[in-house]
Amino acid sequence: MNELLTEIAPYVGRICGAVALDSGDDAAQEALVAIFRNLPSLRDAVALRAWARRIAVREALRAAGSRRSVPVDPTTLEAAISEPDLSGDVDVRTVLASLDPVHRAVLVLRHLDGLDEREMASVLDVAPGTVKSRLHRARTAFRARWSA
Amino acid sequence: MTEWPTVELRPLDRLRVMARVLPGVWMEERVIDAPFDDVWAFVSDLERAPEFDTDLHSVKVVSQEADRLKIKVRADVFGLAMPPTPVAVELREGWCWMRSPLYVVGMAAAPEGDRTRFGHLEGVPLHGSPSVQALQRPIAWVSRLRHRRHIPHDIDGIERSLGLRA
Repeated sequence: MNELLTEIAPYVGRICGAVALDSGDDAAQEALVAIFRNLPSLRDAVALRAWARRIAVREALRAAGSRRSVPVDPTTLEAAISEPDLSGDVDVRTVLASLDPVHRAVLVLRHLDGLDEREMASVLDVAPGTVKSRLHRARTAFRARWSA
Repeated sequence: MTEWPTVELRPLDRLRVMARVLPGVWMEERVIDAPFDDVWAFVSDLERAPEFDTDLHSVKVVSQEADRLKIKVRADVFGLAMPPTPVAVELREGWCWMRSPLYVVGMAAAPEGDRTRFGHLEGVPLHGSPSVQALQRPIAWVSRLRHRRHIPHDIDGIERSLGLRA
């Protein structure tokens, strides 16, 4: 179990750090406890990672104090907007801190984990359209604050 | 280079996670009135463990490669030295995890001002399917009860060895 913790903790830490920010330590601990308490039901590495991702996002959102859902805005669905350039030398933390936690969550899942909208919808337990809307809002907000 | 904020699981947090997920272990934390370097230098010298743990007759380091050690531990039962048990160890600054098939010991420490927050975990590392865990519940209960009493004595022993108590 110690080896498994070594393997999974950095991944959980990345999600919790980026979504929960200052509450990331607590979120990561709670997520790891929840993940490991359910280990007997997990049989393979892919399933473990998917389970870890789901729990980490849930605990990170809880720690960040936001579980509210963002309604789908049909006017935004048209905008299959371009990916923001996240490669610059900037303080991502400051920009992320200005966003709603649910927006941070979709950005993390998209840009750190490379999930598509369907996969993100599964992790977040929302409709794919909601993810699309959140991603659009998150990227717009991210870009606006980045260039501010 | 863009740096996304991340969380690194610190040794004491890691030990707290292990204490919550392993049903047969108990963990105690205490702030020891000595600098981290002094506390860690003592507890990480594993062959000196019998100085503070009266359950131990001897500890011998068999091999070491980077942060992985193999040790042989002889328990002390009513003054008699038991046969040596091989134990696998992960040891780095502020973190020590020792595991044999039937027993686990964890230590973690971090500076807290001029003092040291020290965590100590011991017990029977039970885990498995929920049905197996249900069968193991009495063992877990006894293990926790025993170590709830034993671990404070160990930490007392560490403080004594560091000259912090009579």
